[in-house]
Amino acid sequence: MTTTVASAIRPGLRERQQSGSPHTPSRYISSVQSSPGSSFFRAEEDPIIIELDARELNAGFQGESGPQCTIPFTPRNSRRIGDYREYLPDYKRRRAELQTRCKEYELWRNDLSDVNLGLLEDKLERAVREVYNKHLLVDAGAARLVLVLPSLVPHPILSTILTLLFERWKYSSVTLLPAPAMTIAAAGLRSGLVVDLGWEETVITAIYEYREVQVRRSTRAMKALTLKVGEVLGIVRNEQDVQFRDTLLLDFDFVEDFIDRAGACHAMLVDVDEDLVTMVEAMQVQQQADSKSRSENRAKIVIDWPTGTSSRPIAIPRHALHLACVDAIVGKKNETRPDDHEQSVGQLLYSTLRSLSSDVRAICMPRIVFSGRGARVAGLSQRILDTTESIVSQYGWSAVRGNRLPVKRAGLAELAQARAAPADARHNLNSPGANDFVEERLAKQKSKDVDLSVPVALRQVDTLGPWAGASLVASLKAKSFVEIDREKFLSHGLSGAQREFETNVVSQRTGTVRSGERASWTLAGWG
Amino acid sequence: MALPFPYIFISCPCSDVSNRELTSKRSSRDVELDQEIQDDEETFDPRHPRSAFSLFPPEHLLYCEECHEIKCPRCVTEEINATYCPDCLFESPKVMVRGEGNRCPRNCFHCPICTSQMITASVGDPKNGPFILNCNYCMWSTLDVGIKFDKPTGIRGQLDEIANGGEQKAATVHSPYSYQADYARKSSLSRPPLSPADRDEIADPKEDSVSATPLDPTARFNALKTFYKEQITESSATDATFSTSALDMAYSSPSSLQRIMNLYTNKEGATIRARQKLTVMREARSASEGFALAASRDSGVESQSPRIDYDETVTASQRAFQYPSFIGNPAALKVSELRPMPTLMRTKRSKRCATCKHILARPELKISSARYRIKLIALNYVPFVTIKPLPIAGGLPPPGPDGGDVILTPGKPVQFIMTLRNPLFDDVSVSLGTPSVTPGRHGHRVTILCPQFRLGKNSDAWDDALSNNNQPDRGTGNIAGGEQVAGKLYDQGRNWASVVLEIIPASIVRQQSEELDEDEDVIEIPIRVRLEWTVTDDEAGMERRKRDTRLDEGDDIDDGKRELNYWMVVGIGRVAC
Repeated sequence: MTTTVASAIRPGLRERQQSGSPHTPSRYISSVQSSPGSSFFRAEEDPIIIELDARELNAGFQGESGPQCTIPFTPRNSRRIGDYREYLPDYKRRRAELQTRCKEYELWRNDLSDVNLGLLEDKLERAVREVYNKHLLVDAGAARLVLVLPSLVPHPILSTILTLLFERWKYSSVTLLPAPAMTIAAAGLRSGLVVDLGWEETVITAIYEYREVQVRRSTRAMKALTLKVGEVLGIVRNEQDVQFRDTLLLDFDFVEDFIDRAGACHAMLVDVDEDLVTMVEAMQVQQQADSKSRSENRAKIVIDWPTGTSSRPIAIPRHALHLACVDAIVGKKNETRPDDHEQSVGQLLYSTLRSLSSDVRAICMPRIVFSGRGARVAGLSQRILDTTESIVSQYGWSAVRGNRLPVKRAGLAELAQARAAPADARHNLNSPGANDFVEERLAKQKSKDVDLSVPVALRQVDTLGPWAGASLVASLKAKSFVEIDREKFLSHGLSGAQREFETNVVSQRTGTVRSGERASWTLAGWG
Repeated sequence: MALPFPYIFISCPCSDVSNRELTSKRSSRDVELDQEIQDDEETFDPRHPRSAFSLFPPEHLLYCEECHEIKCPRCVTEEINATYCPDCLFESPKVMVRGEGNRCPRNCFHCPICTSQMITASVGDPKNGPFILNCNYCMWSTLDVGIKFDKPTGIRGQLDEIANGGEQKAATVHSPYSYQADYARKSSLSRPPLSPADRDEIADPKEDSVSATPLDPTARFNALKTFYKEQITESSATDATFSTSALDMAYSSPSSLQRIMNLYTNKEGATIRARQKLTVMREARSASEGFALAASRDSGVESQSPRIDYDETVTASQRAFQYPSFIGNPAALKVSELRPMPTLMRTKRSKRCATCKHILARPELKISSARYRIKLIALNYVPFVTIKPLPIAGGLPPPGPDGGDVILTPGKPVQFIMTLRNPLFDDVSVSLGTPSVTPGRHGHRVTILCPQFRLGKNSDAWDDALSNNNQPDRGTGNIAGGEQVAGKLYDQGRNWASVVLEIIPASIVRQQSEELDEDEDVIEIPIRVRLEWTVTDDEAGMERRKRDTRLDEGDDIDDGKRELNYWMVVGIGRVAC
């Protein structure tokens, strides 16, 4: 363990070991210049990273690969102190509608009309206190705080969160980082398309060079899926024997857990190839009895459904789950919805890509990153991509639909043929300037990337998640756009933020710390 | 019902929205909202969702002698005094704790299935092992994930190097803090000639070689970190204005030396260099850089997770128990991917008042001692309240030793005796206020027969016996002597007094199909308690004199008068329905 101690006291040691370029390992300067006491202090100064969304809070130390803990916002966590009734054997769970129960599991909703900000403050305070006292085991407020938030947070909520953090604890500053960009960073990319299958909304964010260029959202997300699967399970329960029907529990925790577990064992979505396999099997009539029982197994998933005291094996038809999934999230290929808010994810992905400019689209298409709870459902992301792909192959990147389209298009093509020149030829017409900075740069970039260009097709990239991304970015000492100073926030509140945040992008990108203190602060995307 | 009836909760005044509004500056919209809430909270509603966060059992509360206020866990700041493992009571120094991931560094483990404590057992020779960790509650053991240990001690160190299945972990990464630190400290001679980890290292720099086994999240994270560091050094190596090596404040590294030289020698050269800065950070491409394609049919990555049964999958609570990821495996899908978790360390913390920094509680530093050096608990300042049914014919039977459910008939008045016991060494005048109808959907009628009275001081019991003859008339005329008379105490003693509380439960009308909300049938009475007393004992007098000498500070002179207001919630019982 001695080595561990050494590296904990001298963070410089481990940092230098990892940077690849060879240079002489140097003495650790600060320990020479200051008393050893300060290096203890230094070790504690590592910022705390808290990722917060409407359902849960993840917290941990900068530079670590994952959060120390995750705390969900549940009714259990918002009971009075000393109230352990949920653990009692004869505890009766309320049989409330899932829809109404959902509210107790959310810290906030995007519709603020019935969100109690005071309650939000209470819940968050308790959660953060628990994080520090139980999991992080450091004094709260001593170190800087990095807060990873979704890219859209209603202002009253952001204000409440920041006010609570600054007033309850003595943070000197709070840094905000957007979750989608962090997801991209944790995938090792610079640009890409983040499909966040979140709780209330599915948010698709196109990121180009770490900046959000396009955001689209839809309410077809995990909340819809949870309600849908809850309905399916309710139907299954009602088909059971009357004797034990009422002992079967059907509450929010169970439904959510079921989605996770069934998702992990590929039960939520019937794979296309699996369908084929069963069809082939059905055609081969040789081992009839055997294949029949097997296909029955395929058609149903047997789970241990918890009852008040024990559990009971119950079969759930996979087909119903599949339909629920497709209906709630993926959507059909040629679905038309009157409302933009509830576009299916497949459609949404397509329309997001379509609205991007073509070069960004080319970069984003092979770099699609799925995140959020829905990404854990096996096969769901692939299904979404398949749907999008089939839309693309049918319509291309044109927004025009209709019966007369092919006819008109053929006519237009004839017209255009006369003047059209090959697209690439026109681009290369530029005579290279003698000392053109941009051209030179482009050429160099091109030569570097020439063998690495990925084919433009929908491709899915895995990520470590927004928390790990923030941990990476923070440990590289990159400076965030949004750094909120304690004094400035407490004296002006959110209204003190500057609207314009045009800063020198180049210096930001390389992650250098700019000299001097920032005179004004901004909320960037949150403003 | 959280606790057996009857129970008492105290709402800490700090969470009063009205109090808080004075201290914080908010935009006008929020103030309006606050006022709205304030209007709602004219009488404290114990059933409001926010109340759950401000109500505490009286034993949980502290009292600040400087601010003369009750202090709840929300209005104290905490400082960590010691960190220890609750299982083996081993204290870890503060600097070590972080490196160990806030987990016990020795042999304490918890079962990933049922979270109970595990014991080390031997399979084979009792002395020489091999050893396993075994859970005596659910009988899960590390054999289920194919892990055996050579030694019965230092299990944490051994486990950090074994992956599930018994093979050595690929990158020998325990935590981000020990990552490659071993190699930094040891010379190459002290390493075994060709350990498997070594070979990995040699293979690593080979670019674009997709390694056969996908990295686990921690290894991937470290790979990404290394990659980004490299990219930053590369892209800013030629940047004359700033170099990343300067971030480390290491002036002895060649690149920063060059930068300093540049600054002083040729300015023109520096500007040219700045313009030449053409390299752009690229993105990660290979697995060794931390890049990974998601598992799918087309991507060619055949890590398509194999079919697993529903029974084999991990529940949400089991997954939550696996954090952090460099020790456990929060990404686990199957039960066989779970890892035994070292015990989470615990801390001894001292508490300070958030407003005046006065210490309210300080534990003894010795881990094995549960004592406190300082502990100002609120029950030493606030009357202790007990409640029992009035012993009359036709009344409620007295509760059993373990409480139990109390069922009241709607519409029928029930009387309770509420006894307040004074812990202070001064007389306290008490006034109790309660809404005549309790807030909430079902208004139960409440009457306190004697809302204002005086509690005697908590003197020595012998004092009381001796002085009993001298002052027989304390509060005479105010005692009803066991009768229920409005405006009179039910009974009174040396430092206690009891009053009668009358409740007429409202009947709960509902449809047959309608289900009651949780606790909807519970009668909880909010009571506003107001205490007033004058500090007379010597210590406070000294303090007062001290204050008098420092008049120039301008704060008002402490005249020893104390006043305390708080809401108390009394849970009486349930309404039959």
